[in-house]
Amino acid sequence: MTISEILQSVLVFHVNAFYGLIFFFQANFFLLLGLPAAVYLAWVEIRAKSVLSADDKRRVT
Amino acid sequence: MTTELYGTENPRAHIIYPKIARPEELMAKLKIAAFYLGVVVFWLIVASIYRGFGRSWIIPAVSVMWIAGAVTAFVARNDEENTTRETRWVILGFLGFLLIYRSILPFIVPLSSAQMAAALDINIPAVSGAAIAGMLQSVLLLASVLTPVGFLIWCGQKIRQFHGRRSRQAVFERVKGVKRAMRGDDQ
Repeated sequence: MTISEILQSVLVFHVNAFYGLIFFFQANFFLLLGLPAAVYLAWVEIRAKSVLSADDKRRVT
Repeated sequence: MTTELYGTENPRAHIIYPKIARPEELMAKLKIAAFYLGVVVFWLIVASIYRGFGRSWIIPAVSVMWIAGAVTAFVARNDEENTTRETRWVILGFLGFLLIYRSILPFIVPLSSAQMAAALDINIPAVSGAAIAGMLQSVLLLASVLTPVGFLIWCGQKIRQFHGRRSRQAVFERVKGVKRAMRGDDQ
């Protein structure tokens, strides 16, 4: 197997995966809206957790 | 010195938080991230189990719930942590119900009307088999529609409550300002 063949197979694999993702999100369009909202919620909770567990006895809330 | 530091308007400005996360803090954050990832994967699994219904209803409905939770957490900042926690638990419960419903059905549906009549010791007409199928469909539709709607109503009342609290706070501030002005120490 030559290097160009390996590169070609990698390219085909990635293009295939890319089109697979596009078709998946085309079929489940609402995921594109719901997933960022879920990520935002996770980020908010992680941020709140980091404030609450800060080792600071002077915290005023 | 202390009064000079903490007697100011904004005590938070003088508080220094450690920059490096401790191991238990890091673990707690990882747990939260893993929980969200698990809920999303569970969402996709349940939607794929329900096939067409999952693609056309479960994915949009749960998306709307995520978005409503995010908007509520963004708007009602004073309670954002509780909003996020309740959002993920409501979504997990909703998906859990759908999965349990789907896994229990195969055990119930094969029972014929005669078997049900024998089990309940009452006279059940043979056509009630079709009625049971319709009822199962209605239960699925009702549960899968009313849960997101109820969640949206909950988010709406939370935002409304937050705005009410904020306007009440504004009224208090105004009254305080008037009193200060009457005393003559208005700054």
